[in-house]
Parts: sequence; structure tokens; C-alpha cells
Amino acid sequence: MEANLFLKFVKVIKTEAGSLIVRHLQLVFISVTIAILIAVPSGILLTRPRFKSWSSKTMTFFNVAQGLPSLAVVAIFLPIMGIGFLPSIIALTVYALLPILRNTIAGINSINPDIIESARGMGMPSQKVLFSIEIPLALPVIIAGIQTSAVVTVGTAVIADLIGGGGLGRLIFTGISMFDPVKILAGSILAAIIAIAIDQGFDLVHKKVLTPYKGVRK
Amino acid sequence: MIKLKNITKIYPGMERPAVKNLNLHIKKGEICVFVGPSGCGKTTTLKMINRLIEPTSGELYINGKNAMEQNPDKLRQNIGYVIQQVGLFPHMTVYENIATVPRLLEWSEDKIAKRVDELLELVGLDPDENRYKYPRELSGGQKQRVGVARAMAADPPIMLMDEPFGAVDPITRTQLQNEFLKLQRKIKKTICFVTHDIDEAIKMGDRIAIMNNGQLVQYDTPSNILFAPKDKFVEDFVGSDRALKVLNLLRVNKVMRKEVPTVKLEMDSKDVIQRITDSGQKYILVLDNKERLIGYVNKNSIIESNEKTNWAKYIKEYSSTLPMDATLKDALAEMLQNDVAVIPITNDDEFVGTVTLGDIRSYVGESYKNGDESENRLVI
Repeated sequence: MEANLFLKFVKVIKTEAGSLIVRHLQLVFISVTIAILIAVPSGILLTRPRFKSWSSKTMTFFNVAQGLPSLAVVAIFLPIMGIGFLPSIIALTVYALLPILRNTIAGINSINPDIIESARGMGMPSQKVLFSIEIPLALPVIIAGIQTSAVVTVGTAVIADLIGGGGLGRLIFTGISMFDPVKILAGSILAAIIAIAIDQGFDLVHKKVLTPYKGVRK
Repeated sequence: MIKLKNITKIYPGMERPAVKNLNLHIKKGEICVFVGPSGCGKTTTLKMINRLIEPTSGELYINGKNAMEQNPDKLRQNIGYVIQQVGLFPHMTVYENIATVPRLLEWSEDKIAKRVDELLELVGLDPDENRYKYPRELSGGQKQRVGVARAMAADPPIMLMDEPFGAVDPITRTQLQNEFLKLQRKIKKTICFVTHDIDEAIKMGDRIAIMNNGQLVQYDTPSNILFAPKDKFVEDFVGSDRALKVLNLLRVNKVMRKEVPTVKLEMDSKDVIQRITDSGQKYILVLDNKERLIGYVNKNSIIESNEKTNWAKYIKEYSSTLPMDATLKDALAEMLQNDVAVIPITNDDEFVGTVTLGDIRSYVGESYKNGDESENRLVI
């Protein structure tokens, strides 16, 4: 019986999982990339003196939004956007924004003000202060935000199948409706592996690429 | 060089101006120290000079030009800036940190490399050893040196320093202060220096601007601040031990006695005894024929010995001597440590005179009477 289950598990992975994994990765990759493109610039903008007063309001809004269950977010988008790949991407992007936005703001605001002051005091134009001082110094924190966002999105993307997004969610939801624990398990395990792989990948980036900003010399 | 005219700064929402009607003229090549209690407006004043803080009203002239009409970035590139926490860029090497302003000015990389090495040497760091280090690999003192080097990178005529030696330990601080004064003698920059430490102000300043509640109370040389405090506030700020601070300011050559009776090694004992008797002292200093101090002899030991010529074996070594640019504080410390009342002064080994406890006392006392006739506050 047990050997039978295992064989079935392998068969599910062999025959059905391949394209679903690719679709799942597409969902995660595209939505996180769009989230980065939106959240990093807006985070930076919200640390500029002109917009600083908006920053706490924005953060409150996103914190509340993040409090909504991912299922609810997907459900909200259903009547507005219909079903399919694009609505799934949009829902996931909205959900992926917060960690990146929060970390971008926190990363820039946590830079020692003395460093900024000495840069400005030496006559560095504010644009150059941003690009050669603030962003590089905030980079480890920003990337940590992207890491959180990507890992969370791997989990959220499972739900995207409910609005026709596809991905590993299909395996799980099919399993649920057919009372097939092997499919549920296969979908969950594969999603977990993707999440862990992405997490580890980012750790590697932290260690290899970002060392000059942290403790050890390259 | 730097002229502030009626400079006032009022922060939004504050009733009392942070700086009020400040008029100040800082001369070329001088170190002007801003000193005062916290919140007196000294740092605000400093930051208004490079317009990190914009004055609410008033005029600011740097090198004869109206600084308010210049591009603030361009203005700052010509003013060195050093702050207490140094503010080195942690993700850049020492080289890149120092190269900041030259790169803004678009120097060639060859010229920058040469300048970086030159500056590191100037502030006492080995270029080969330190060029590619990151700031976290440096000690507090080394960071501060790099900070000074970075501020001087494009050879700005003016430097602003906001408590530059405030964050290092006392020993390193003294060392950095001395090195900086030595460096300043060479580079002759116009320097504005902020500190809350009156001792540092007296040591570093050619002129001291004492501030309180956003206003300039007294702008004067260190000795005038010490001898003739303008009002009660300055007097209190300088401290009740200001007579002791004077000691830090005055050099022994001001007080030194040059005509001191001495004997030479080749004299015979009769002449030596005669000299000692004439001088009215119990002992006399002994020099060799190159005017170098050997020690001293007591009158009694020669008389008791009854020897005609070989008096030299009774010469005792002197426990301490001081160079001419030592301060009176150094001299007094030597006297107390070695329990002597006279310190011989040398100039490159050559004996030039002595300083006595009595001389120090009367010199400082005199200065006080001249400076402040109302009271006679002699602490020593």
C-alpha cells in the first residue's frame, strides 16, 4: 500500500508537475519583479523630504492591506479583473509590494544621518547622495525585503489557481476536490521546495555580493 | 576670509532664535573656535557657513563673495567639512572616501591617486597599508585622520570642523590636537572649529568665539578670554580654575630667566664656591664647554670635601629639563613630580635659562592684574 502511494506520488510529479512548476515560477517571478519596480522607487520617493510626511500614511494603508488574508485579496480581484493569468499576476503583485516598500523605506531611513550630512557637507549633489550613498547602503535591507516578498509570494501563488492563474495550486486544489492526498502533498512539497530554494538563493546573494556593505571584507 | 553679518536663524515653530544677529569676521589662516554650552548655536553657526543650514536672515561673505548667491554644492566643494562621528562612507575604501570631492570636481584618476597618497602621508597614515581598507577596519583615531584627509582632498582654503576630536579617547585626542596644530602651521587654512570643551578651545584657537543663547558673548584671543572675561557668563564658562588654564597657554620662554649664574666644568673649586656665594643660592648649575647642562653642585658638599680641583664628582644630575616651547603647565607638573622649585630650560640640548615656581606665580599674577583689575584672583 505504502509503496503504491509512493509510486503514485512519483507519477504525479513526473506527468503533471513540470508545467505547473514553470507556471508557478512565472507567477512568482513576474509579480515580484513588478512589485520591485513599483515598491523600490516609491519607497525611495517616500524618504525624500518632500514626500516624507506621506510615508507613515502609506505604510499604515499597506499594513492594513497585508492584514487581509491572501484568499480575500484574490477574491476581491475576481469581480474586477475576471479570471486568468493577468488577474493573478496583479493580485500577487499587490500582495508582494509591502515587504519591499517597508524595507526600502526602513533601509534608507536607518542610514546614519552623519554619513548623509558629511556627503552633503562636501558638496555632493542630492542625486549623487542618493545613488552613491543612500541606495548602496540601504541595499542589504532592500534585498532582504525582496527575499521576504518572494518567499511569501511562492505561498500566495498557490491560491492564484482559484482565479485561473495555474501553478502548483492546481495540483493542490484538484487533490482537495478529488480527495487525493498524494496530489495535495505533491503540490505542497514542491511549493515548499521552491520557497526554500529562493530563500537560500537570496542568502547566497547576501553573502557573496553584499559583503562590502556588511561585516567581512571581500 | 569669512564674514557673517547680522546672521539670524529661527527654526520653524521655535520662538527663540537659534542664532541671533551674529556678526563675525574670521581672518585668513586663523583657527576660530566656537565654544559654548549645548544649544548655544555654535553648531548651527558652523553649518550656516557652508549653508547646510540656511540662515533666516543676514549676509554671509566668503572670500569677499556673497555666499548666499552661490550654488550651495559648489560652495561646499570649496569648504572642507569634518564632523564628530567622522561620517566616512562605510561601503567605500579609504581611497574612495578621500577621492569624493576630487571626483566631484572631475580630477583625473592619476591626479587623485597621487593626492590620496600625499594626504595619507600628511595625516600620518601609511598609504600602502591603508589605501584599500574599509572604515570599519580603522581605529577611531585613524578614522578621524582619514576624515581630515578627506576634508582637505581638494585643498579647500576653508575647513569647518564640528567637534572633530570629540569621539576619541583622551590620549588620542591630545595626539590628534597636537598633530593638527603642527599640520595647520604648514597648511595655513582658515578653520572654524566647534567644541564644547574650553580647554580644547584655548589650545586650538587663534581666536575664540564664546556663544550663549544664540548670541556671541565674546570674540577674542585665548589670553584675553582668560585674563579679561567680558562678563560673568564668560568667567563662569572658563571656570574658576582659569588661572590653571592660563598655564596651558603660556610657554616657558615667556617666564624664563636667562641670566642665571652657572659654572663651567674647567673652573677650580675656589671660583665655584665664590660663584655660589655671589648668587646667594646654596647650589649652582654646571655646564660643559658647549653650554650643555651637566647637573648642579651644592656649596656645602664642595666646602666639606676640602679638595682643590676635583669638585666634579659632587655634581648631581638634574632630574628634569624642559624644551623652550613647553607650557607653564608642563613646568609646574615637573616641579610637583620631582619636588623641585627650579626647572632648567634647554634649546636643542643647549642650556638657555631656568623657570622657578616664584616666577610662574608672579607672572600669572601680573597678567591677571593687567587684565582684570577689579579682583585679584590668584589661585596658585
